[in-house]
Amino acid sequence: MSAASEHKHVGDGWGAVTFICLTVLALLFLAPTIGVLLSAFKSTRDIALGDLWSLPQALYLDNFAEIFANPSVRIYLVNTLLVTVPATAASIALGVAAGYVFAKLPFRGSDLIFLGVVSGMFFPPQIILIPLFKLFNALGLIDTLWPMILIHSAMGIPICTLLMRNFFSTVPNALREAALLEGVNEWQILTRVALPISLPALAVLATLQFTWIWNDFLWPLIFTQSDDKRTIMLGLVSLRGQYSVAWGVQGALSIVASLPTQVIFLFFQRFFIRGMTMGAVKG
Amino acid sequence: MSDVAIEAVTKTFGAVSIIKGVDLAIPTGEFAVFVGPSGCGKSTLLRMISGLESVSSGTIRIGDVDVTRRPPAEGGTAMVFQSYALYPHMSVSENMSFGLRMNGAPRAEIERRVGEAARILQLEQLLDRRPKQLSGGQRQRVAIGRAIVRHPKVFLFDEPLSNLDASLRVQMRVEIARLHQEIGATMIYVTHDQVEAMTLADRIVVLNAGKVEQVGTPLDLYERPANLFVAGFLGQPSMNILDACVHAADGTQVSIRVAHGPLIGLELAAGHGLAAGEPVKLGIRPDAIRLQPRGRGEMPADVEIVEHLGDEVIAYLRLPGTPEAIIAKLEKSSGVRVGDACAIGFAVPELHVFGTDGLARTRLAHSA
Ligand SMILES: Nc1ncnc2c1ncn2[C@@H]1O[C@H](COP(=O)(O)OP(=O)(O)O)[C@@H](O)[C@H]1O
Ligand SMILES: [Mg+2]
Repeated sequence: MSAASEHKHVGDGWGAVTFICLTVLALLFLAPTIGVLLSAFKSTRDIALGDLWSLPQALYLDNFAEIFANPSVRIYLVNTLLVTVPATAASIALGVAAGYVFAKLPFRGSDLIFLGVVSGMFFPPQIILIPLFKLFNALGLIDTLWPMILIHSAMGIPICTLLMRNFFSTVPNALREAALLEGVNEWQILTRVALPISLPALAVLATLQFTWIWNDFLWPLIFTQSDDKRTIMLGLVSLRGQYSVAWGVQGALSIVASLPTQVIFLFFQRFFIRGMTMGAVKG
Repeated sequence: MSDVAIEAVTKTFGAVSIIKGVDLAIPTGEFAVFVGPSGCGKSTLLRMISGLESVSSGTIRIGDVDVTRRPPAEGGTAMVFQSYALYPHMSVSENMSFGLRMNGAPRAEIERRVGEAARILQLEQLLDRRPKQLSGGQRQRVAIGRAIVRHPKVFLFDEPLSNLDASLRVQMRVEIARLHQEIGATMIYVTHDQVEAMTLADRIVVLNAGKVEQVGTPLDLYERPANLFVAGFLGQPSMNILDACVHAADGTQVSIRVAHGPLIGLELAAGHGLAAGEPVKLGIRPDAIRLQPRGRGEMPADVEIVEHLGDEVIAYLRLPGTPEAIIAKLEKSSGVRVGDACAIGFAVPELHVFGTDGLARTRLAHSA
């Protein structure tokens, strides 16, 4: 009895320590975010007088008005959507196709190829930055959205393939075989059987890819020059140059810029936990 | 006419030979059961018939069509899996109609067939449920329904009842037998359960290590097993196998001495090839063993364990001074008790003789 309860006490002690550590970390992480969020609702004067975390003296919404009046912001948002949506869709589509082949239609050497694809995940993108710049320069695609679309589509393949292959592996082979015997073709099996069962994996990937690509800063910085090709993260930073130190406007734009990813998360998170395979096969 | 013809079929996985040359002809409308120990290749053979597994050599024909290298859907077979393999995101009726829908069958035809299958399997009340809202037995009925809507030439069942509990298994077994009577299609049913095999089959195919051991009606195999494997595999409890030795052989008349037991004379068909002094095995089913008072019987034995099954009694007997145990199935009125000293009497007409090659020797008209 004593051994068990002692163990439990030790566990409780560690639990408290862990809790405190996590709380401190969370606060450290949240503090600047809160500061920026608060400044979105402050006037320039208010910001200059108080410190970062002081509460606004009155709810001040002109920062938002300024953002919505600024035509560049709309262009940034549209550009970001034009990059994020196709690149998210393309990387997931490619990952689904590759993952299905690796999971359900393996061939000689496919495991090795799979390892090769997945190892792409551990590749620091900075290494290929210069070759990529030369490539897109030769193609005449600098200062267009294409480099970002293509790079994000390609760089999303490893994680999408890994996740989809692992998820498809849990879809029982008997489902595919039952369908094959009924004269259902491989494409129909993928789209009508495997994918509907894999909604949780798709939801995770969609959220992950969308957020990652939306928030990207590096590639737009490299490949775009003119203001009307900027994405939102770049625009966020460039606002500073336009309006001296525009903390309030930047805070407001930060909030606006993060809304799409919040919406995506809220929309997809209800699929995350669903155990769709339940009841397919027993045991 | 045979509906399914299997000729010299083999299957190897890499270097491992799993099916080692199988020949079979299954007539139209027959209920054939493949039975054998786990891992003997039953599923592999069934999957080759369905086309899901490639055939290494040999040919398989269904009807008049060589389906050896055809894709699965073209063989006209439908399969019911042990795991049910229902599409979890579809309702019962969507599960049953999926194949037809994907192949562009007319809506009215789909509805007619699903309705017909639902009626046969009493699934009408469940058509809108999802698989996870069904019990195991209901799921397996849906899986069977999915096979029925295709109007297949041949139904294939791969251990369809193994996931069900015992009482449901018996119930589903009866339903499958009824289904066969109602639609009369050719059915091939794989199981490792000899009771399922004996009760369902028109003909049983006993498989062992990738080979057919024997093919015949359930009674055929029970009464005239062709070899030691079949003798030991069918029947519960299994046949007792005793060491024995040929005492004398004179044409068809052979006398055999049971180790620790009596000398038995019997008549074997010509060509038995047994000579005096040759070791043989004697097989006797537990229900062919008679217990007699010690001194009158042929082989003294002690009763070690008694199991009461209600209408009958299973007695485990040991021959004194030997490690050999014999199982007897007796009437409940036999009054046998643990510790009884008794003697075993053999019903000679029910003895089976096996040579050292493991093959049975045919008995001639029994001369008591
Ligand atoms: N795809 C495969 N690759 C390699 N070996 C296999 C494969 N499928 C089955 N086997 C082997 O073939 C043997 C027979 O399998 P199976 O036909 O499933 O047996 P059963 O259905 O009689 O229990 C087993 O030893 C199994 O390990
Ligand atoms: Mg099997």
